[in-house]
Amino acid sequence: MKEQLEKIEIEALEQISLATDLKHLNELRVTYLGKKSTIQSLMPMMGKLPSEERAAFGQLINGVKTRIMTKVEEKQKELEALELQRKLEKETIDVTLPGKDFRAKSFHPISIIVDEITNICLGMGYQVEEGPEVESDYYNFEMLNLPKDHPAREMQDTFYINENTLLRTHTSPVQVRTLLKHNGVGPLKIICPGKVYRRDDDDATHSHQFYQIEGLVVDKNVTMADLKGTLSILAKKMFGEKREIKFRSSYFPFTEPSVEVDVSCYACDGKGCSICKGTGWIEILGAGMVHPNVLKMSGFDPNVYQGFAFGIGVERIAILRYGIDDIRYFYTNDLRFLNQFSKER
Amino acid sequence: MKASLKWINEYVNIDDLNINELANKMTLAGLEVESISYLAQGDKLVIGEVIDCQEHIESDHLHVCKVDIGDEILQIVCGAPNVAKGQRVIVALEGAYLPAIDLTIKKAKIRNVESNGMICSLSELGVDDKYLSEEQLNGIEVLPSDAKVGETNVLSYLGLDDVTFELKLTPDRGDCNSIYSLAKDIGAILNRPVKPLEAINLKEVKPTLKCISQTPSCQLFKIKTVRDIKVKESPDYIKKYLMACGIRSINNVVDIGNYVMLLTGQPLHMYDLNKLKSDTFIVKDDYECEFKALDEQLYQLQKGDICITNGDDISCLGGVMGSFSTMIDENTTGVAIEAAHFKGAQIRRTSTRLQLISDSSIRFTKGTDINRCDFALNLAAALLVKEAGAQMIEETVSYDVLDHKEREVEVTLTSINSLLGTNFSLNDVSEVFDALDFKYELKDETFKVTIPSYRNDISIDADLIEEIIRIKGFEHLPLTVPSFSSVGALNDVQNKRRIIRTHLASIGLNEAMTYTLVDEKKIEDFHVLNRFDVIKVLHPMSDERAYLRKSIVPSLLATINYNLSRNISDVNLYEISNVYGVDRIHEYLAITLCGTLNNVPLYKTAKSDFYTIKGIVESVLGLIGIEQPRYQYSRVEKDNNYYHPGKSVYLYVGKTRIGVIGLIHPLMAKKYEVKDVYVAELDLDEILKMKTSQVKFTPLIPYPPMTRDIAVVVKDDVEVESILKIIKKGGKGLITDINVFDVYQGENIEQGYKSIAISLTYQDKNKTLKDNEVNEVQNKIISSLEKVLDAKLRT
Repeated sequence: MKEQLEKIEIEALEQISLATDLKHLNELRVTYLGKKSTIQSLMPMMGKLPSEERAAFGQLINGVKTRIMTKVEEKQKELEALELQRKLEKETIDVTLPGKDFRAKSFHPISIIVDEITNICLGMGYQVEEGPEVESDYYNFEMLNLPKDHPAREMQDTFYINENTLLRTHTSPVQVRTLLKHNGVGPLKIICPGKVYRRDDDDATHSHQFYQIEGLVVDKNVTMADLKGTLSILAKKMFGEKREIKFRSSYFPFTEPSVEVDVSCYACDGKGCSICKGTGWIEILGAGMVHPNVLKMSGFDPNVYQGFAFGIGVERIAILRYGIDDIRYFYTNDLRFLNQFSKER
Repeated sequence: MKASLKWINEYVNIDDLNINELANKMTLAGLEVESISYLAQGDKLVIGEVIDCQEHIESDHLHVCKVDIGDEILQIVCGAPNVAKGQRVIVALEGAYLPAIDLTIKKAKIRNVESNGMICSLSELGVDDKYLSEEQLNGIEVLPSDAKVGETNVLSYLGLDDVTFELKLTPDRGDCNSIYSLAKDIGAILNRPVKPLEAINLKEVKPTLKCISQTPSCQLFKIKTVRDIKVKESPDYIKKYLMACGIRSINNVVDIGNYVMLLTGQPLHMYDLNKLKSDTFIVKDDYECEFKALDEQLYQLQKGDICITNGDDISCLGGVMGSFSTMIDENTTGVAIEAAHFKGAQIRRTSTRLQLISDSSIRFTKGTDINRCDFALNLAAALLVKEAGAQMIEETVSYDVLDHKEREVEVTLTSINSLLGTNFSLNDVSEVFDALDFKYELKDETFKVTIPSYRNDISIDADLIEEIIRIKGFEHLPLTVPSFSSVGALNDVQNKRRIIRTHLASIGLNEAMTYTLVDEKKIEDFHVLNRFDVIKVLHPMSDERAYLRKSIVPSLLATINYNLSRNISDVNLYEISNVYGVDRIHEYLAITLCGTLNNVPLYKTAKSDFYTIKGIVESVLGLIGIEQPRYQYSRVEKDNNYYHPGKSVYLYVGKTRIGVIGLIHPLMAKKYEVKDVYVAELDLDEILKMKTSQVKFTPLIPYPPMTRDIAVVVKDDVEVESILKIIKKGGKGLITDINVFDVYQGENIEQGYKSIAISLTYQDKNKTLKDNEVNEVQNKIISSLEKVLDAKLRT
């Protein structure tokens, strides 16, 4: 009987190890351990054994059963893992097919620049002020030290709506409106982004509508050195830490002294290239110290207060930043153009 | 202003300087050099004599010349028709580079004949064609017979070694429209001495003419009469200076007028003495008539235009252009020279209106030196003596009611340093004023500066501070920032606007920016939110840019059309912009969906429809805390011309229409040449001013929800909203969620009816609901639906 059991065990273990699927394994389990199995049929014979042999036989038969059972369980785990693996393999997809489209689309490049400058200025403690695009001649010109017949009005050919109303030619009237709002009491630190309009024929470098950002800081001791320091920070943030700025004397009716501001060329580090036309410098904005007449007209005592102002042409910055060669792209809104800015925020 | 450097060099020494460096220094100090050009350019040039000239055997137009260049005789093949034996000519030697035609001269065989150089025309040396005669343009330059053969410094020998700076002067620096004032400023910038203008002594006789002004636009008018002159060609130095300053030579008399204007900045006008009708000039400004100017064009004069009259003749449109009737010609033997001061504003008005911009009008518009008239007249007279043989010079007659008092401006060292943020000393400041040749008195730390009469731009201390920093150099400014602290933050509206923009871009729309000014043919389209009168621009530049838009939608439809015609079929845009009406500017948000949003064809992404745009609008409103029932929908009018009446709604808050959502009308689609476009336009001003409710936490219900689905069959025209209203009303607060999950028409549903399947979630915040409680509520809801909407429960 012992021999028979050993033989069964060897056979069972071998069969189990050869099982190829769970169903087959289950059949083997029934065959070797089920009610009708040989092992089970040997059980009643145990009672017929002398009592001193019974225990040993019991141990033997249980040992065989346990080992077969363990083997079945092991095999079951193995086959289950295999089956799962097969299932997963079957479910494999082509991961190179495209994803569903959740891509963010583009901000308009002008907005990108406006947001960027706004963020830098917010960080320096500026508030954002806005004003009307349909503006009075009074705020757009006269309050900015540009009386009627002033020769500098020629610098800004104007869309008039009637004798006294116009499309603002710059964002500077927002300065005036903000100064007036402050009733002659400083300090104030603002930027004013917005659309402006001039009578220019649209071509690659001119647009009758464009975007400006005006900056204004007024307090009792704001200096031109503060202007230079502020613009230097702005230039570094926008064009890189290595950038320097340079002032050139210029003229605006609403600032005195007035300057044009150049930034060292970001493309060649100031060595001279096609972008800076060999000069190493690129003009980026106009600025100056607020003209005493402007302060006075807006209710600030020029003997007490002084300040600086600057005006940035947003398209110009975008053109420089992205290497755009035609200003009309900004207003055509060709998706092939716009989509190039999807990664900019 | 085009300025001759050679001429400037007569007054301040600059010829030792690198030209680009000089230009850079001037530009930094406010005299922007826009471009640099050379009167003529070329190296390895020499003057030679053509000692032999034969026709080329293999050509019908080439000549084979032997040219003596002093130490050598060269064989040169020349194509110019005017080349001939005995001429003195300009030869470019082997290796010479001529920038004007970008040519390097090489030894060459031209049709089998060796050629060792090139005989040049002035055009090939870069002289502007406008200064050349027909003959000069068509052939080589033939030099005078006494030209020095073998001379290698050819450009200088010919007086063509000059450089022109084209200056882009700011409107305040009218003084620099003068070679002499320019020299003064350059002297200050370089800190170099500037020669004074030479005094002029004239032998004069008593005047025979008189002058007077009857207009406040002219408070200074001077006339000087010069007789016995001979009109002829100008001397070479005058011609070359004029050429370098961009003015073509006419004859000696006219040229002298221009020469003096260029040097002094004071425009002169010369009248032919023989053509004058009387001995008195009267300046008036009340004519309304036609005027024939010396350009032979007719101009319509208005009151205000300054007229210099003589007898019954308008002899000059003051400060702008002389008359045809008194102009100098080859028979002129005497001239009356005018030097005057006219109000710049009036000159600007006249010349702008007549589109007649002259060298004279430019100078008067920007302001001239009121004290330079006498010098200019005397210089002109002296030159007429020297270059036109003038004999009789009369004393100058004057009408002068101008205030010639010198302007004095005070500035303190403290104010200088506190405006600039610098640390300049008294000495630093004195140096600048000395360099500028400004006279001043210094008391303690206050400079009392006498402003020269040519510097019309200086009237307050800030103007002087600008002079100090521009002459000293802006590199003296340290880099500091304003010392006061302030909080930088977007306000509520700015913040919400940014949130909306970010959201719309994130869900797949491109931000667009289009023009404010639009076409008359589109101005009324889609103006459903904006019933205000349209604003038109005065004198628009074109019909397309004549009106301020009342809606953003037409511009976006045009953009869609643009993209569709470039084979881009999914165009999803938004734009935030002002729209306009008389007395009303509001900021709008427009969204347009054309084709499919976030389209991936592989996954058969559905085309945008009404529910896409509705969902987007609700997402925008939800994002800034505005949810139903704070706004309501209402269908657009049945006869709406812009929106599809069956697929479009207005948005209302109370009685205010704040938006519109829908499909554009097919007729609009046709007009704008686009396909189906779903549009939303919202009045952002109205929306952003709405209060956003604060978030208040509602406790989560711990009891389980129970979900029941019902399907009801209703008539086709029953709107879901009416069903939902009944459900909500009947729900007694126990329904926490309602979801329409199917709308079905077709098999098993009678024609003209539809089946709507809705899932209802019941939940009580105080206890676990029992089946019979839910059944009771739901049965009541069903019977209400049956009663009110004639709905039938679908089983």
